[in-house]
Amino acid sequence: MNAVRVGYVPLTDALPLLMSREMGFDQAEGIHLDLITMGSWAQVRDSLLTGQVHAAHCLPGIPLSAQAGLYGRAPGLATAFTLNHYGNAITVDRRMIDDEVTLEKLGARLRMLTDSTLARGRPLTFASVFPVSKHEFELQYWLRTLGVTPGTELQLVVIPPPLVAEALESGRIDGFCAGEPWNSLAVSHGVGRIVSNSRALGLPGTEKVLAVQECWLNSEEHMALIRCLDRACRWLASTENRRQAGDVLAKILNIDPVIAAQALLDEVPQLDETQCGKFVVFDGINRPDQRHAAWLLDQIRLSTGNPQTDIAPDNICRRAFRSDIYDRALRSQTH
Amino acid sequence: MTTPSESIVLLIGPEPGLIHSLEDAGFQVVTVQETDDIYKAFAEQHPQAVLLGVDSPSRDTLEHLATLGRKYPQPALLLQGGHNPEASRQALELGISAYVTEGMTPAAMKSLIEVSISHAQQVHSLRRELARNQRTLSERKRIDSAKRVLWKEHGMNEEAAYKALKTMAMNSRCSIAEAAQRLLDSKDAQQ
Repeated sequence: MNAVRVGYVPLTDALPLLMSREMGFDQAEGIHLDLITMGSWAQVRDSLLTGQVHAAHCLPGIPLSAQAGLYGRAPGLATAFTLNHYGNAITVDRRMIDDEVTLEKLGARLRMLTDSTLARGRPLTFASVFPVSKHEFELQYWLRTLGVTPGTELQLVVIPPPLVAEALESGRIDGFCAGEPWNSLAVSHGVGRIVSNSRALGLPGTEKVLAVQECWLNSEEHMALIRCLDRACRWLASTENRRQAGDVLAKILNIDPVIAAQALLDEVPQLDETQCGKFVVFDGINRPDQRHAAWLLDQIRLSTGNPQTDIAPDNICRRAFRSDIYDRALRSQTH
Repeated sequence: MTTPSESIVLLIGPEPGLIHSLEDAGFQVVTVQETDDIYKAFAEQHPQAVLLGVDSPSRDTLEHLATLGRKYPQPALLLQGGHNPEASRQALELGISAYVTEGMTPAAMKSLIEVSISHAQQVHSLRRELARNQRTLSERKRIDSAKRVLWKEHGMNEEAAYKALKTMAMNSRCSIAEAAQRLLDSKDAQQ
């Protein structure tokens, strides 16, 4: 049986990979998943670029940046499988929100904090998880809807999710956008309140993808891995299975299974209780979506201020998001 | 170029054994923990290089510091337990980051850190040069378009058109490229 080395960051949206191994979906496709825990998206990217892993649970911005030439002469990265849509949330400092606070009042409070850095010795500060992450774009979008425009009195930083609750508590940041279970954990530690999520923001949903080196796209192992993940994502549609998946995640992160399952069971404790549809979606969204790629690439270019690439945006998106490979993998399905 | 003996190295995370090797190699070592404010450490210490574990979550914060650009061209050196020369070679070739093996001698570590620092400085100055060239090129293009307008609409030859732009620039106390831009803008507004 061929071993396939796959890197992942322990997060709710790594569950299609984790459950593939747990449920033996990998063996059923004739591969053996060797899952390697990674501590950062920089490590995921470097492991892909240097070929230390065959594939990885990855931010879609990474293959897009690779195809746009942002990593120099590095080998091309691409994705033929979207792992999930949505799944991030925005959490703000508990001290900024009393029980009566509405989003309008919160907006007014945040705008006031951007007026002056004097009182606290630092500007209004929010954290995301990586420079080209969708988290950063979601954060900017949410702040704009509250009338807070990115500029000199608003500071965006990157703090890894496992460290973010502590940064909130010590007053280094006012809020953050991260995947689960880190928002639910900040709430359970009494340091934050969740004020919005990807689903509510309604931006293009592609959240994490399975990224691979271009030269591995056509391999038999990749085809098998796509079929195995496709099955895992369908398996993750049922509430009962999601509960079981929550337990697996809880064990890996060594946290309370109730907290680990909140995002999966649409039970994330939010300021605005109206949840429009599933908090995180795994099934029925797996074919790479060119429109999402185009939107993400636009955001990346705006945020990196890097328009001097010779490659047309359409070509970057087509090379990074390979729906043709996804189609071929599922056509050759054996059962 | 920085004198190596004065270089400050920022060490992130619990690597007590390394502090002595680095100090023996002649570096000034500043240590912080993963949970500390990395931004503050950079602003206050101005390290020339950063050393951290290959699986340290703070690597993503360093990625952000690198995008903040001019102020922070510091190379990150990654510590890993085992010896993987192939991965280290590839990482170096790609210019991603250098991999340091824990068992390295102080002398080997010293030269690796020094090479990384000077490499980062070279890349940094190349980038600055590239940005300057791109700016010059776009200014030249603007001046050429403005000269073409003057030639087509006022029948000026190249020399006369350039003189006219120079006079406009002197009168409004701006650069020739800016005067050219104003001319093109007013032309656009007329259409």
